[in-house]
Amino acid sequence: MRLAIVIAAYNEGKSIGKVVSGIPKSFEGIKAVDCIVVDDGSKDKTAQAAKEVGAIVVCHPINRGQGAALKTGFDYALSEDYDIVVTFDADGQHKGEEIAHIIAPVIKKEVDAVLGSRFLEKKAIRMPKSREAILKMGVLFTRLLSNIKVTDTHNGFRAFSKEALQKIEMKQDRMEHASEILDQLAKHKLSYKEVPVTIEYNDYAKVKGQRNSNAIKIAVKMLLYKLAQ
Amino acid sequence: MSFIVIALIFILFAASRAIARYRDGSLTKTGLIIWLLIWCAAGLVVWMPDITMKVASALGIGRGADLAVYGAVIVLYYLVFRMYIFQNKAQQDITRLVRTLAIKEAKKK
Repeated sequence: MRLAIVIAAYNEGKSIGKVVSGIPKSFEGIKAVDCIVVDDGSKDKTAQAAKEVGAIVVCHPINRGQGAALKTGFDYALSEDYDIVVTFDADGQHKGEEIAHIIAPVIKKEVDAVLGSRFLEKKAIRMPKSREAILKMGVLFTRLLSNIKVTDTHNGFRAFSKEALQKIEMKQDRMEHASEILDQLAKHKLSYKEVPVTIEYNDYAKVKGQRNSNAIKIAVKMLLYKLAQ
Repeated sequence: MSFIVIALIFILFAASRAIARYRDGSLTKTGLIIWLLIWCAAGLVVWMPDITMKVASALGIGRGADLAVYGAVIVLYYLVFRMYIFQNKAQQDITRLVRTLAIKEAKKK
């Protein structure tokens, strides 16, 4: 099986080299691994930095949002016939060593998708309390709106089989894509499970990451999205 | 000249503009009909201002002016909704274009 690690990156020139290098080059049950970095219209040298460490780079000429960038990565991976696709953050919040855990259930064909959760084993390092509160509310919101039961609704660490990706629609360009993915899993009756992953909130990630206030925007967009279906 | 005459002349002018736009293709048939109806209604209100009172009472609304405001608000909501949908679709189209370009470029090497 061939594995693609899709990393959406916007102005991550400082961290992308380290992140891509930190990804293991081989996994059990995997014939080949490639990093597909989608440069979402960065103004810095993200694309170059990624190429230098051996990643396949796909460049958006203008910024479209993380959801759009991931979908571009998915489409690229599907067109190159990768069997498993992992989504991974560009800012160093995820740990490359944990990829093996997240792809295992897909390799064994237990489920269509695996979702990382920072709450399953309390593996959120230095997470601000306010962020924890917002995420927990997100869980409740998603349970009500999309009828999906997960403990972590906005975790960028996921794995999908190519069959699952072929069914998933991703129309949300910006941060709402995370909620849309869950909604799509339920809609297409895809099987999924959560595995514990570590999310490390270092200073770089905290500055570059989302504002908690973005949560309201995401909630409103998801409501409108569900209404329009 | 009384205001009514001036207003009616302007309305006739506006209606003629709509017809001209239809003739040169910038306005669709549906658009033309809608605009002509709007100008007819405007002309009617200018000619017989009491008519707004009669319609308002028939609907159970206090004043003709209130009716006009309620009507305008509903129309505005509808137009804003349509614009929102259009904007959304346009954004999605842009993203799809960007995606196509990006993947094409990436596969060149």
